[in-house]
Amino acid sequence: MGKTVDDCAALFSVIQGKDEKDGTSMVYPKFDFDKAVKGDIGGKKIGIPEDYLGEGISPDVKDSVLAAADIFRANGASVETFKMPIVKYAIPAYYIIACAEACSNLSRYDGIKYGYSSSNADTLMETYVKTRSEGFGMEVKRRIMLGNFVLSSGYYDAYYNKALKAKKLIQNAFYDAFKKYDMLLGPVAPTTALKIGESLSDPLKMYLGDIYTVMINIAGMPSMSVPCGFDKDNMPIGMQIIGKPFEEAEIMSAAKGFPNVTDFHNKLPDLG
Amino acid sequence: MEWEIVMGLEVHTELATKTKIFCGCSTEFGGEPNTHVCEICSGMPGTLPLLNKRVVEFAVRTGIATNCTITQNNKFDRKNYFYPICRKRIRYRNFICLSAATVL
Repeated sequence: MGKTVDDCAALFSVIQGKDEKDGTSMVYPKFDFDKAVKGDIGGKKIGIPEDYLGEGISPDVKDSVLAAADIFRANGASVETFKMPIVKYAIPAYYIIACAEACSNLSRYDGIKYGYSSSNADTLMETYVKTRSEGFGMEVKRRIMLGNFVLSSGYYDAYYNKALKAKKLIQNAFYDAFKKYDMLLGPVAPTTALKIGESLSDPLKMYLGDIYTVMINIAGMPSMSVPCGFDKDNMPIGMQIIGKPFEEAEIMSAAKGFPNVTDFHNKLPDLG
Repeated sequence: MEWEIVMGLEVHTELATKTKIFCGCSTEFGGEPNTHVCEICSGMPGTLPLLNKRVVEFAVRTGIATNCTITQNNKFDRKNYFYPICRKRIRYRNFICLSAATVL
């Protein structure tokens, strides 16, 4: 949303709150801009899910996040690790739910009213089939097919309903964690950015790259990504600060407190 | 052999609301073409439905009149199918009233 916490806070203060045309938006106490830009780390209780630093994470990313934890400690926060084993269900649950939603939401792209429409179709069914076959890319088609599969009769309970139950357990795990901590800290992605085109042929590997961010989407928690260092190839590393629902100001304040004492956000990767 | 006839009725009702169920467009008949339509009821990308409060009130009233149990926690289900009259290729379904039992 922005290059600095102040910019994010400024934009967020405009877009937050109830939108009369959006039934999913909520009435909630106004976002506290002054608190968000205060840059306050001292006295905060921060938890790091151990499972965010487990299998598949690159050593550089792990070291950077742990170094960030030390910086938080040095500035008056308490940081400790805790177990959140439900993390391993995040990717399967998320991709089942996301694909189910995608196949339903994308069904309106049928070539009739807007968007791409196949020019070599003569019947209604041909218009549907050719428009969608020609218009969607591989990854979109893959997700539509997965979505239809997990929603199909006979598999609905085994996949979609089960994923919704896993979602609830993931939410509960966050609520439990927030009984002990003001906010959570972890990496944004298990590795630094891939080179253009790299790994695109391996969708499962690409999906696993989302492991730490799909958790918050499933649970509905606010999270902020903050630069926290560079790997051995000089590629930037991000950490995320996850907060309780509607406590955006709290995580922004911590996120701002961190760059106040580091300069990662002013550095650029060497693109060679 | 004795047979007992058991029948279920599917009853559709047009509610006397001033606006449509998921947007603020008028339900009045006789308007100029394309004047009672908006980005929501035409299913434009990026739009979301917003439930008409009166519809829920009417549904609850109907439910009480037909001895239904009124659901306290309520959710929408989607029914997906490709059919021309169904603009978004999705229909929404919501069970507000359960177990109607009316003696005819």
